[in-house]
Amino acid sequence: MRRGRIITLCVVIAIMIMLSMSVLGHAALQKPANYPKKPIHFIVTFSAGGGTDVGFRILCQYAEKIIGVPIVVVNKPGGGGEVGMVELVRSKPDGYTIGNFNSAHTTILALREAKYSLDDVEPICLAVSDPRLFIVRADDDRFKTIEDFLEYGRKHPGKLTVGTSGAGTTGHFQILAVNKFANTSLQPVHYGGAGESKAAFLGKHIDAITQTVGEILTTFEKGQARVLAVLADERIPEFPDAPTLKEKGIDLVMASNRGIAAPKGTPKEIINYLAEAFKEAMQDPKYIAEMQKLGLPIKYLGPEEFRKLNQKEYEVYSAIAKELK
Amino acid sequence: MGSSNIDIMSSLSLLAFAGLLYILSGDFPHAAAGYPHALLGLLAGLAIIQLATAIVRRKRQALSSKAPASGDNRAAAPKGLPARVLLTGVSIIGYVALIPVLGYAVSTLVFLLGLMWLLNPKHSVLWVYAGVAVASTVVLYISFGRFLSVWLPKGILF
Amino acid sequence: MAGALTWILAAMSWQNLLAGFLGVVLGVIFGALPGFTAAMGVAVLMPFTFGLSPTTGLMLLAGIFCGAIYGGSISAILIGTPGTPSAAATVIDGFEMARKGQAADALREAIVASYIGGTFSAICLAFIAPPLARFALKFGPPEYLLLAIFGLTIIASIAAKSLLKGIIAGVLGLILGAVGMDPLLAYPRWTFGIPSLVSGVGLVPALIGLFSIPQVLSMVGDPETRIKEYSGKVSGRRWPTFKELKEFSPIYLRSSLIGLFIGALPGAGGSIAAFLGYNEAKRFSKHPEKFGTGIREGVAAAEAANNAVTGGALITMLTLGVPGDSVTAIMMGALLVHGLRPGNELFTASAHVIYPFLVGLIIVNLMMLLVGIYAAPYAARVTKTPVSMLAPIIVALCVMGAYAVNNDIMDVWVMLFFGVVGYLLKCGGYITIPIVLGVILGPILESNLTRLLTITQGQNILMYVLSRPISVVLLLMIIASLAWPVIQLRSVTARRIAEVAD
Repeated sequence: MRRGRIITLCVVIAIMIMLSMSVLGHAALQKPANYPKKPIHFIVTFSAGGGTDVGFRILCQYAEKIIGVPIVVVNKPGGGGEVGMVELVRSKPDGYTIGNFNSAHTTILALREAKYSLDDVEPICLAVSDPRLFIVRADDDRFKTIEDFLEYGRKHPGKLTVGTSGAGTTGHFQILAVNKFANTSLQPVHYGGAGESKAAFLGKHIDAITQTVGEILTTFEKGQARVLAVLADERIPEFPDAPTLKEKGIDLVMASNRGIAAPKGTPKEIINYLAEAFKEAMQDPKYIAEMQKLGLPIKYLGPEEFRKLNQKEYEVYSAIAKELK
Repeated sequence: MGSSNIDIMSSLSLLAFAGLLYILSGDFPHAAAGYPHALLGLLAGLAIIQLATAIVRRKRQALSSKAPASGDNRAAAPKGLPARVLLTGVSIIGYVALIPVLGYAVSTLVFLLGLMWLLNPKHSVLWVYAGVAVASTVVLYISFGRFLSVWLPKGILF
Repeated sequence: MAGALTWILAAMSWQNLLAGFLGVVLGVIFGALPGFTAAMGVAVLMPFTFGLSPTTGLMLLAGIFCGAIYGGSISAILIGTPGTPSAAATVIDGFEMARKGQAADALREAIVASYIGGTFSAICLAFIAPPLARFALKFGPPEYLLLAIFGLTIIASIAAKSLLKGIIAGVLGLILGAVGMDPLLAYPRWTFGIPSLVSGVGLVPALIGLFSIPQVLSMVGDPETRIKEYSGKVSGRRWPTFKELKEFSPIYLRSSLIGLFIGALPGAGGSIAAFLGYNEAKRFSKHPEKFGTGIREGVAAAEAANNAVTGGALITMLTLGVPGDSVTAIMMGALLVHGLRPGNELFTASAHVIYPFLVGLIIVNLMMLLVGIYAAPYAARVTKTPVSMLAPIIVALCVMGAYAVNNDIMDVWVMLFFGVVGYLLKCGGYITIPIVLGVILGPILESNLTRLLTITQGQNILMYVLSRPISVVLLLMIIASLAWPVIQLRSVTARRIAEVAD
């Protein structure tokens, strides 16, 4: 009996090893002929030194070892990410120009006319997914739970002020979505970035803020803030006491997603090859450790899954944006 | 051209500018329009005040057709645009328009050589100027394009 | 005490000194180039700090930060174009000094004032960071709104000769500052389908255009003065005299305090601090009418204030994890890479990293002083270059600078637009500074007005504002600021009458 188990275990392990080898072998087989022959440009649609920029610069360092050519990061900020995205979708679809594709690029499309569309983009993979959450000051006795918070919002429409990192950002959409799904009336107040909204929050000018798990982990100290709820599928290990909105019967999952995309028309085998290469880079323990320090939760999704995620996000955001108009 | 004439002209241009921006703001949602409309109104009001005072001033000058206005205006308006200014302005605009076509390096070299030659009154010590132009282009191109990783526009040559 | 000594020794390791020195040199060069800001320098160098020890990396970045803020004054003085937005106020008197042939004196004043402001704020960072940060947090929407209005009152004192034109230019600046997404619905206003305008008119391209293009055009259009203005005496004393320092000490102190505090406010910034510092120096001066004609006081007031911003901005970032500007936001990223989290923990658990850095910041300022004192006079030779050579090179540099901010050719067109507008207005007798103030303060004004209206929905706004002590103080300051020119005029007249009577 016992021996039988061990044998089974061995077989399972052997199969797993074979499978994983075959997957690796498969990936190696998929390497397109004559690619890559020259450096790849990676367009970062936000300023140098920001969270998106730093995260992808680090990822590119690990990925270029696997791909074998340098990946040159180029910052094209402006227009909330639109400038760089337009540059990306207008580039030659030869696999030598890729760039980041964030949730911000989806919210732009939901909010206003833009010079690109979801169809112009060929998703490669998701790299970072940072769940959003609601926080209040630790010493704020009005809200013990997320129910208290939402109830307060219902009873005092427009009085419960929640800070965002700017109009039209994912945080803004988060508040509008909760207002819609939980039938409450939180008042968004827009600040020029996460830092400014945090200052207003600590200075008690607003009641709560929306941020992401990573932002809380890296910039807040113990005792400054309390997480009321997370907008993720499951609870976050770092905040075991904070429920998800799903648990509370509000089916709303929202995260700041950061992925990689190429212009439409880039050959399928290049897309798949790059996705596999970035996937491998993302498994490097050193990369994982660096991202953890920066508070950027890693999450990989392949080309097709990432496309579906973007499509789903777009539908959710568009529905919310309609209410805004 | 007297200072009051300049004031009348600038007031009218400001009014036209405010009017144009107002027309262009027709599709702004209500919440986004309040602040810019208030500013446009303010600009138009101020321009009208300036226009009125300038007209009054000009009439007074015409009546007392003595010395030209000294008024409160210290603006030393240039007597028309000197050719050199116009030339410089046009070459700057031409330079920027050329960048996407010829690329940064070539258009900068062409611009520097051209404008230095045009501005140099006697066209003397040409080789010094050419040297400076070439050196500046190389320094700009290498230090920014290479060391500071500015993604310089490429043109037909490089 | 023994702890302090270890920290000082730790700060003086050769790696730290080298990093700080390199940072300062690179920062000064970055700052002196129009379009290259402190934030860009810090962003370019940040990846290199990953491999360094945290203190060394921070010294490198702080060196760039301080050096670049000072470096902006060099081009402000020599070519009338601020190298960084923080140096916009330095142009007013600095460039006039260069035109009078006193470029070297202006440069000396800029480095001395920068050093004093920077060191003052570094010392404050070491000793009074927590209370200052707590005070900065008290600034809410009404306070920011009133601060922006207070900033706009500077127009009244700068454009005293033609108030109407000054206000018109200011309103024009506010209008141009309203281009781009509105702060409530993110609706893109007046963007003409150009994506880069959606996030608003870029401050750096706008400033380069407003200052440099009219400057270049009037330079080439003025054959009479083209040599005279630019071949002034560029030799001068290297160090300031003790008497000079003593004479200017009130200016240094006032500007340093303003800079420190404005720096600690997230979202305000060095350019506002410098303008406020300049204006207060003018207000309290015995000869305010000389400001703007090229006097050292003007340079001192602006430069002490903008460099004092460095320590202030670091205070809110290090103690609260709230970056005051884009530079400290990037520096915060560098801290995180090393696993250091801003906040109280940084000063307790990571004291061995942060206290040597605080000492290092003082050393970095000292290095900046030496670099400035010994290297800047060479830069003053720029003024000897013939206009026919200088003007095209300035243009090429400015085009590069405007382009490099976002790697976007659209920004160069924005710069040219502002250049043409600036030149036309100059021809019409308008001055540029109010437009600059409008472009800088407009977004702060509108977004905080919007926030105030959102937060006080259904309440009496006036009562809300009057119930906040800081708001009341700011309101009184605005009233005083508007009334001051009248009072000053009276006292000057009275003095003249008295003099005549004598």
